Amino acid sequence: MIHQKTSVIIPSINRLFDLRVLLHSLGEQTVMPMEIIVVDNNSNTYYSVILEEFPHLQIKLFKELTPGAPNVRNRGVKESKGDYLVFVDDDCICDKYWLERILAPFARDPNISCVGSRIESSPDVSTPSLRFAFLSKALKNFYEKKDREQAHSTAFGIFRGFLNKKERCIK
Amino acid sequence: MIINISCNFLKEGYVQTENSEGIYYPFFPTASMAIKREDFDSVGGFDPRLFTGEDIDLCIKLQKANKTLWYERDSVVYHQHRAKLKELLKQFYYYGYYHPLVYENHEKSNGIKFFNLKKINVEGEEFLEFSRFLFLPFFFKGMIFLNYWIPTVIFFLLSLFSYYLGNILLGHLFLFGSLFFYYLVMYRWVGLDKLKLRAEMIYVQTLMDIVYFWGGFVGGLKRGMLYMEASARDLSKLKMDFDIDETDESIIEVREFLSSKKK
Repeated sequence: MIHQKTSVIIPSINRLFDLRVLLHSLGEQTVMPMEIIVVDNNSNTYYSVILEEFPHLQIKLFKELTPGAPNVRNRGVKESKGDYLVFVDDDCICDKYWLERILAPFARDPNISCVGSRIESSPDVSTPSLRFAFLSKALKNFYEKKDREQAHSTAFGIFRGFLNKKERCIK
Repeated sequence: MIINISCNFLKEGYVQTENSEGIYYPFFPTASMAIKREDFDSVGGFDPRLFTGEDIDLCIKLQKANKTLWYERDSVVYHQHRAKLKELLKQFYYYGYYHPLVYENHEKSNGIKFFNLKKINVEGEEFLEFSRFLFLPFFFKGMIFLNYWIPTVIFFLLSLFSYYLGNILLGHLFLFGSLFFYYLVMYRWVGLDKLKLRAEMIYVQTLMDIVYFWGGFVGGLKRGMLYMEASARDLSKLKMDFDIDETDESIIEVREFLSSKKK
């Protein structure tokens, strides 16, 4: 099975609360990865609490002193043992079927080397700002999008789905 | 050679490297991406210089090595953008800042490329995409996205500057004249009546666009290239009236919060 050969790599810096939200959502996945590698990029926060808080997850914690997300991710790859690498950011929350579905194409077609998934916007969990929720709601009405999948196209596509998310304001 | 980069996928399936406009490189953000270890190692991993945009770089390298990419639509990750305006703007500034470096990594020939917004129909749905329409050979590299708001902002700043100059040099208030010039140019060349600029200007999204553009421009200057990048939003579709849903939970919550503060 592919999920038993999978390493999930999470870079993180000074965002312990968001990371715990992510790890909580990883604990509820339909399939479990072989290991979860958390690389702390020299932050001030005491990261080892996650090892006590999530004993049921195979978390391995490393500390990388070189700044920059690519260095941290490369370090995570170096320390991991799985044949399949799954990257996720610490400010994300995973859907229940996220890991199962992102690994499914590898089993279907052995030629596939990289799989991307849908990224939707969600309200900020750590700093719930009601003003922002109100504003984003207003923005959503303003743009009047029919389909939330029809993302805002940009040069590099980074605004994708930023405004047309239905669950955006729902807590 | 980068002609276009996009991670704006409308349907699930194998990701096409070529489209009708030529070659373009779609990418998957590292916020949620699965990759085989052997392929990751064969392209050399992430470029350590790219603090953002390393995912774009990796996906371009994979596609140049003729690897197969798949977009899985059912697999979902919810990404939290920054809730504080300053942090959000900082994030978008640095998204823009490292894009010239990605461009430099993969584009070897000198010259300035112009991109234009174009409406593309995919299965009956219209969406905007950038397509290349002009290439000028030049002694440095450059990439210019022609969008609606770039000329609007530039002409607005020019009109303010002309007001400033008029004030300083001649001692006259040229504000109305300069604004008249601005609106004249906008109506003639950009079609301000269609853009609903006032609606656009009150937005956080506009600030993000400007910061993103500025980040790309500054990053480009540091690399010795002219880099003017913009987002592709259809401003003509904006509406001025706020239709607030009275039954919405978040709206009720905000109102209760505001009323409790007044007491």
